[in-house]
Amino acid sequence: MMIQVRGVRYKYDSDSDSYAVDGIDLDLAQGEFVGIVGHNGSGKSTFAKMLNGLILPTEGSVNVLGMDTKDEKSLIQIRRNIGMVFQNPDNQIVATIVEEDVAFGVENLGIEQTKIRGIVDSALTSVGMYSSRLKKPHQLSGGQKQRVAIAGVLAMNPRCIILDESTAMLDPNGRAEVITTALRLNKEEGVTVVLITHYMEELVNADRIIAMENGKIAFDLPPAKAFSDSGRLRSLRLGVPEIVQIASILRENGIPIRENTLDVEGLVEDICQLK
Amino acid sequence: MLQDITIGQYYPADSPIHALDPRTKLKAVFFFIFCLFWVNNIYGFIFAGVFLSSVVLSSKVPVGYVVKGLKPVLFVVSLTMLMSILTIPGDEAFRIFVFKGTWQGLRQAGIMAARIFMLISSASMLTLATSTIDLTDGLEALFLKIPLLKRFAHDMSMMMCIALRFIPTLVDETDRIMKAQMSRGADFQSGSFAQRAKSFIPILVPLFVSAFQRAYELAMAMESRCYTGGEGRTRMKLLEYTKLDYTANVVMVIVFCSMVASGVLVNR
Amino acid sequence: MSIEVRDLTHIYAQGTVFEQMAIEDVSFDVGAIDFIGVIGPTGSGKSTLIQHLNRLLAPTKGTVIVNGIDVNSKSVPMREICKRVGIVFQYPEYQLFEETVYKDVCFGPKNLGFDKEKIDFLAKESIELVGLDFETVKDLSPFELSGGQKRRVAIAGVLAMKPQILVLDEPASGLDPAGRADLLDSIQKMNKELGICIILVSHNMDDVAHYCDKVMVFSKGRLLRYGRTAEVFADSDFLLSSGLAPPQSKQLLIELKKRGIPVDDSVFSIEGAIDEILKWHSSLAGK
Repeated sequence: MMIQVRGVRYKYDSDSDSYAVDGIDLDLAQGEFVGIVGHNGSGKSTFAKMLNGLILPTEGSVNVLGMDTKDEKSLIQIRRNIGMVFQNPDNQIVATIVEEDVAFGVENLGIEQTKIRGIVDSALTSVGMYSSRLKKPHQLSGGQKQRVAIAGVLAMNPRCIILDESTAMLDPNGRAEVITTALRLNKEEGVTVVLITHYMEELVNADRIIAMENGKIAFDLPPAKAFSDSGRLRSLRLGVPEIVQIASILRENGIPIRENTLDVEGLVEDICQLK
Repeated sequence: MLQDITIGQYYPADSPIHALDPRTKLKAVFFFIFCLFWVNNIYGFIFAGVFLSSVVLSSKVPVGYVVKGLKPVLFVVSLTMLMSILTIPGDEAFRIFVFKGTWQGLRQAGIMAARIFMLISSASMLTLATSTIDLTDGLEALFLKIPLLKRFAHDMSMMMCIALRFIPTLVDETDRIMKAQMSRGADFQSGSFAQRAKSFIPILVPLFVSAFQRAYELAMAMESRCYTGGEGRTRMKLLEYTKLDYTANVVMVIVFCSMVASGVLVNR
Repeated sequence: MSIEVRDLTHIYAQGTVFEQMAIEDVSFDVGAIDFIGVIGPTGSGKSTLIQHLNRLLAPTKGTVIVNGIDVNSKSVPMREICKRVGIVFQYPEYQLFEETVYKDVCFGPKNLGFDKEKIDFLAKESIELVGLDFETVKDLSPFELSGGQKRRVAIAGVLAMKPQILVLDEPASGLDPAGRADLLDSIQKMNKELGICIILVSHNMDDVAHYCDKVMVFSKGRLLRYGRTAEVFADSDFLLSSGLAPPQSKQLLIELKKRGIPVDDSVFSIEGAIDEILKWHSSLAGK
C-alpha cells in the first residue's frame, strides 16, 4: 500500500474538544485516482496536509511507503514522493521565472547540476508549458500557473500528487486544463492522484470518491455509486453533476441508461442505442 | 518622482555589458566606487568619466535613462555644492553681496558632485544592464566567497528572489483593495495630512492580512517541496566566466589603476 | 433606464508599447430592476467594464449615465456615485479591515455621510439581508469568521450604502456548492424583494442560466450579445463559438442533435433536456 492512514485524529487547538479530523482509516494504492469532497470546514484540506507530513496527527498514524510521517528523518523522502499543489496559484510559485520555479524542488533535493536541466524540461513538457519556460509567473493565466506548480512537483518524480482545491480559484477553462493534466499523469504515467475539490463533475473519471463530513469519512465509493444517492449528496452539502441528474430521471422513466454513465459522451451513447 | 528612480530597473538589451557575468559587474561597480573616493583631481575624474561613458554607450541603454536616475539627487547635490562653495575658506573667486565664494570651495564642490553623480550612474548602470535574477545569483556567489557573509549568502538571495517575485502580485493586490475601498466611498485625496494618513488604514490592514496569509501559504508550499534552507542545495544554472569577463577584468584593472595612480602622482 | 452606456471604449496604457484595447464600442441599457448576467472568458473585458460603472476607470471614449447622472462628470462627487452603484469585487473578504463586523459594515455608509441612526439601521438591515444574524456576528472580529461568512460580511458592507445597482464580480467563487446556492439565493432576494438592480459577473453559465433574466456575452472586449437569457442561451452555435462552455444539459442536447436525434437544442435546463429526450423517446414508441 502506498499510503496507510490508521485511526487519525487532529485538533488545531489542544484545549478544545472538537477535532478537525476525527478518526480516519484509509488505504491508497499506487496508480489510483481518488477524489476527496466535502463542504467547507469538513476537514478535507486538513486531512490532505497530513498525507505529506505538513500536519502531524494528534492521534493515529500516517504511513507513506513504509515511512511514518512522525519520523522527522523521513520527511524529505515522504514529501518528494507525495507532491502537493495548493489552492492559490500565486502563493506557491517561488521563483521569478517559470523554469527556475520548476527547478526549485529538484535543487532542494540536491540533484546533480548537470541533470537538472533535463528533468525540468521534461516536467514542463509533460504539463504542456515548455514554450512558456522563460515567462514570468504574473504573465500566466491561473490555469497555466497551476500547471507550472504541477510541473514543479512532477520534477521531483513523485509517486503521488495531491491537488488541494487546486481548481477552486480558476475559471472553467483553467479548471479543465488542470483536470486534463492530472488525468493524463494518472492514466499514462501511473501517478497516483488525490484530487480535493468542490466540483463533482471533475470526479466522474475517478476510481473512488471519498466524502468527508465533520472530520470523518461519510462514504468511500466509486463515482457511479457515489452519485446514485442524490439525497445523501445534498445532505452533505454537495452537488450532483447535471448529467447524473438527467440520467437518473431518465432511468426512473424507464429509459435504459447504464449505471456508470456519468458524463455527456456516455449519456449520448446510451441514448443513441435506443434509435 | 517614483518613476524617475532608475536604480533597480532593468532595461533589456543585447549588449556586451548585459552579457557580462553579474559577478564581474558587481565587482566592477564596487571597485569603481572605491576608486571614486580615492580620486581627488581632474585627471582621475576624466579617466573615470571616459570609462563610465564608454560603458553606458556600449550597453545600448538610452543615455536618458541613466541621466534620469540623477534627478532625485539633484537637489541634495546642489545644496551641498552651494554650502561648500560658500563655507570652505580660501582665496576669493567671486562675491555676491556678503557671500564669498572661494576657489577651494568651488574645487571641493566639483569633486563632490562628480563623485555622487558617477556613483549613482554606475549603480543605475549595474541594475539597468543586469536582470534581477542574475543580480541575486551574482550577489549570492560573491557572498559565498566572503567568510563573514557566507552564512547569509543563501538566505539573502532567497529573500531577494521572493521579494522580487511578489512585488507585482502585491502591487496588483494594493490596486484591487484600493478600488474596493473607493467603491465603499473611501477618499484618499482630500482632508488634512492626518486625515489622509488615517484614510490609508483600510488599505494597509487588508494588505498586511493578505501578505501574511501569502507568506504562510508560501512557506507551506516551499516546505512540501522539500526546502530545508541552503544546505545541500544544488543549482540548475551555474554562473560561468567567459572570455568577455576576462577582457573586462583587464580593462578594469587598467582604468582603476590609472585612476588611483593619477591621485597619487598629482598629490606628490 | 438605470444605466445607459454609450460607445464605451477603454485602452490601457495608451500611447505606450503596452497599449491594450480592453473594451471597444460597448453600448447598452440596463433597466431599474433588472437581474443581468455578464459572461465571457477571462480577459474579455468584463472587469474593465464594471469599473467604469462607478468611475474607478475613466473611459478612453464614450459615456456612462447612471440614474440620470454622468458618472464621469467632474461636478458629481464620488459619494453620489457610490450611493447609486455598489461594486463587490472578486474575493471581497480581502477588503475587511475593522475590529468588528459592525464597524466594518458601517465604513461605507459613514463615508457617504449618513447620520448615525441611519447607519445603524442600514448596517443591521444589510447584515440580515446577506443571511447572517446581526446580534451574533456584530461584535465579532471579521477575521475570526469562516470564509463564507467573511464573504457575506463584505457584501453587507457594500449593501449598507443602499445602492440602487449592485454589481458583483464572481461572488460565489471558491464556495462549496451549497454555499454557492445560498449566496445566489440571497442575491436573488435582493433583486426580487427589494428591487435592487443586480449585475452578476460570472464564469458559471449554470448560475447565469438559473438566476439572470438577461445576459451580456463579452468576448475580446466586445459586447457580442445582450438579450433575454432564454434567447441568448438558445443559440447553441453562438455559445460554442464564443469560447464558453454551455451547461452540461445543453451540451447533451447539442450532441444528441448532431447524432441525428431530433431534439430541440435551444433548451438549457435540466428539466427541459429531460422533457426533450422523453418526448423523443415516446415518439419512438408510437412508431
